[in-house]
Amino acid sequence: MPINHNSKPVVDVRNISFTYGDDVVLRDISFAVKEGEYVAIIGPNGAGKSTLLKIILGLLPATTGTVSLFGVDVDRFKHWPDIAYISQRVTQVDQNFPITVEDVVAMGMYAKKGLFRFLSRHDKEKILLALQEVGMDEYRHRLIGDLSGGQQQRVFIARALVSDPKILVLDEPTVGVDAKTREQFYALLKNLNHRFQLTLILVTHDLSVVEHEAGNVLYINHALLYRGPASEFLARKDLTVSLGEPSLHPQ
Amino acid sequence: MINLFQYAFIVRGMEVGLMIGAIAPLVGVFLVLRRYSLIADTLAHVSLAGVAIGLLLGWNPLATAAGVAVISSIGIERLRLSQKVYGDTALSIFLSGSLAVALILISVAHGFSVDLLSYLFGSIVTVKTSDVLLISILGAAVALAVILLFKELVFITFDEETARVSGIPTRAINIALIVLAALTVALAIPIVGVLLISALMVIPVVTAQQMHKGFLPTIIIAELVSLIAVALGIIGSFYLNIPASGAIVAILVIVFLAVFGYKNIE
Repeated sequence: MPINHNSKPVVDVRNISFTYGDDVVLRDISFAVKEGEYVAIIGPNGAGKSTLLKIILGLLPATTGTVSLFGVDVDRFKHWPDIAYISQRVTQVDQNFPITVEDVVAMGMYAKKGLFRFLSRHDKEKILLALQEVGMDEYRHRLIGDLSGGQQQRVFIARALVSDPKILVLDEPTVGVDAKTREQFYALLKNLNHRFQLTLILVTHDLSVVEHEAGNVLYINHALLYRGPASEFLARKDLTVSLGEPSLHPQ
Repeated sequence: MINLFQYAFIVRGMEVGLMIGAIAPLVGVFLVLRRYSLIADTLAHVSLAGVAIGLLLGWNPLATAAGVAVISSIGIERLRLSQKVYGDTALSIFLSGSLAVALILISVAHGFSVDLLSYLFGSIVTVKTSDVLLISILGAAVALAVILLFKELVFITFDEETARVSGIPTRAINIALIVLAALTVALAIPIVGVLLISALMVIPVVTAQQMHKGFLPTIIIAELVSLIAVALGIIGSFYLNIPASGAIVAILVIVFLAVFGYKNIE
């Protein structure tokens, strides 16, 4: 979708640093993400990408600096259902956890619904629609642990969509899935970005997402070393070499 | 054959047993799936210190056990959240610490050692009418709280980090869960005793998990397993003259082994 460059940033990160003991994990990072942007935060393993994501989501306090979501400081931000998060952990689903696909997607509505309130028939219809959106409605009564990695990820996308979020944040969502499933997954993300004006922030060390899908790239290796279009990033061999997937580089 | 229900203690034992049999897996399912099974054991030992305090002061030991277990459960959760000690280390500190307190209190007032065995292994004979009332009220409160917080409990059990980002008050729900576990453990003392409580919270759930169903069906199966084991255990203990707690847990283990064997041969 076309990005409105005049719009206020939905995520505004200013001078974020994070230290753990004597280790500087993140150093003076600043950037903004506008509505409808598809941003890939990329960098080698251990570069501090997931830490940055946790700070943006309020899961970790930054040592210095500020994060604003929709213009509100992350510590005072209340509209969390506007932000859907798909954590790295979704690739480690407990195979024996007794929960159906339908119940996993329902979780996406729980915060909006509020305490002591149960799901209505309308909510259940929304769950079915979200599952249809990702092509998983036929699996709704199956246990999540019985699905393949790619299918599980589609279910987690449905869980994210069911709360009508404005931003979708994903942390290494394609770890451990095959190349074909990964392609389908990225195609689904791109489709959602276009159709619903969904802002996407994707943390990855996978260069193929930059090559084919994301509009903008933030390259992080403890500090922000690049912020710009994906096409220009791919020409920066000095940066891409650290990601170690030469076969995915454009020839 | 003697009609066992002509005895008031059996009726009281059955009432309390079925109430505990219903709430133990209801709370236990969340502990098992979060790999928190050791919490039930820790809270049981903490409850023993509560029992000792009750006996020493001449108060209802069940009420003091519930109070001490609830206060300690909040302490355990805060210690775990502080991230200054590992979760299982926090449990070890409370488990051995409370056992030490119980031991000291028992030795200070050497008079009540006779009662102690019934708290360690349960004794439905000692269930008083006031216990039935206390267990019924608190048991119903625990069941109601689990039903009201059900969707949040399921979410944090499955994926706590995402639940937190989505706006679920995970800290409050975690505290609620451990307090509910503390109450369940303390209330179960008369039926299965301190040393066998975790069996009642864990085994029905693990048995139901073997059936490979969704969350609600798993809870329903666990409830059925638990209630049947409690009822048969109490009836069996009467006719065979064996301890009810031992009979209940033995039935649970047999049912688990049968289901586990059947599902794995299948």
